[in-house]
Amino acid sequence: MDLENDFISFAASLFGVESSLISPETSMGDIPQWDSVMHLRLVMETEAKYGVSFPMQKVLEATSVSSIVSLIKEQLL
Amino acid sequence: MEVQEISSVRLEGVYASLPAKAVDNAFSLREIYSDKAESIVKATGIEKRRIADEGVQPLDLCVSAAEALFSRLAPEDKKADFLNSFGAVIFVSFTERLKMPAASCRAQSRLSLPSDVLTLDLSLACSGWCSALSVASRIAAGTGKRVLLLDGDVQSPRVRKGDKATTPVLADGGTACVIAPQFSGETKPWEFSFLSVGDKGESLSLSEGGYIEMDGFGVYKFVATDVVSFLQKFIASVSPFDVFVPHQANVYMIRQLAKTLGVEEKLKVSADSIGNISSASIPATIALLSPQERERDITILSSGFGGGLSASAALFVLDRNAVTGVCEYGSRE
Repeated sequence: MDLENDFISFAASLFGVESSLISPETSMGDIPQWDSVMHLRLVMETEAKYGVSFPMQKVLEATSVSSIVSLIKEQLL
Repeated sequence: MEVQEISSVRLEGVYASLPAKAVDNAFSLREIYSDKAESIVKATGIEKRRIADEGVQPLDLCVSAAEALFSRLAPEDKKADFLNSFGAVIFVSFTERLKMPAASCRAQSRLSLPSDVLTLDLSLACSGWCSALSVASRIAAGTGKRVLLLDGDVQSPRVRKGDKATTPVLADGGTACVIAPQFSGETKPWEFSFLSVGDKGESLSLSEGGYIEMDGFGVYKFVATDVVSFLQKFIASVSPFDVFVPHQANVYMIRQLAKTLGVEEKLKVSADSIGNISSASIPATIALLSPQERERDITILSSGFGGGLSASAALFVLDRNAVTGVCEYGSRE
């Protein structure tokens, strides 16, 4: 499974929804389960799962699946 | 940025009184997070939270810390002179149930302090300790008398059952510090700055029902933008420091903050083992410093941030002879 699909599965599990409801374009607020409180939890748990650390400003900016996946890729390179 | 300097003061001692009950976060969070509890603990970095017994108030914890500190600072035969040397009692809390009579007056009585002390209650939440330290140091330098600074909160009864923002992090604790005038010898001035952003206050508040309401993302945004900028300017303006003791919001956030400020190696953490006890988290972290960390005089940069929204920063010295320690209060179960 590539990183994007792996992250979508991870996020879907965290939000408690089917993976099919989440795409690379999904952003905070697009589904009720991804609100601002859940966003912080998503970021914290993403960092723990993938062993990465996002700069504070990036946490505020990366509010879509694709932007978070890009951040993970930057860190893992 | 205005940096206020206060000279001729010394921090004589810092004590924390923590509830003996240390709740295992992974276990306690299962009710609201089920099988995700472990990952929440891993993410926030808070493994245990100290929770007070039912009915215990912040003042109880603070008085307990003060009694322990006083017993270390003054032998029994010199206790009366020691107590008479106090000119003020400041009490910082936003969770003390009884608002009147003021907790600082009750502290004066319970600790047998002189009747002519200035008593002052402050309600500021997370940023309160550094702000109160500036007031305490001004009084000590201005009057030539000791000041007792009490800071504590019992937040657990004010966490709404099942609230996912506050339950994983908030905890209870009380602290006591003695600030003394120091007119002889060389003393390094203490430095302070403050930030108030009242228009963002709704991100962290106490509801009419008495529950703590927190917009975690709003608070994070405040820290990532306003507080980072505030502390960058403060650090650029003040003298060098040895350790960084921020308000222990959660381990994740303060590691992020320290990394952004480039002071990761100076960061001190206590939230992992006691939780976020609001503004008292700064003196509690100092009280928990190990003997190795206290072998020499250390210059501490502290910063509180949160409710208000507001932030405060203080740079001060904790010398090697200052007394620090921790005692426990109440039952373990």
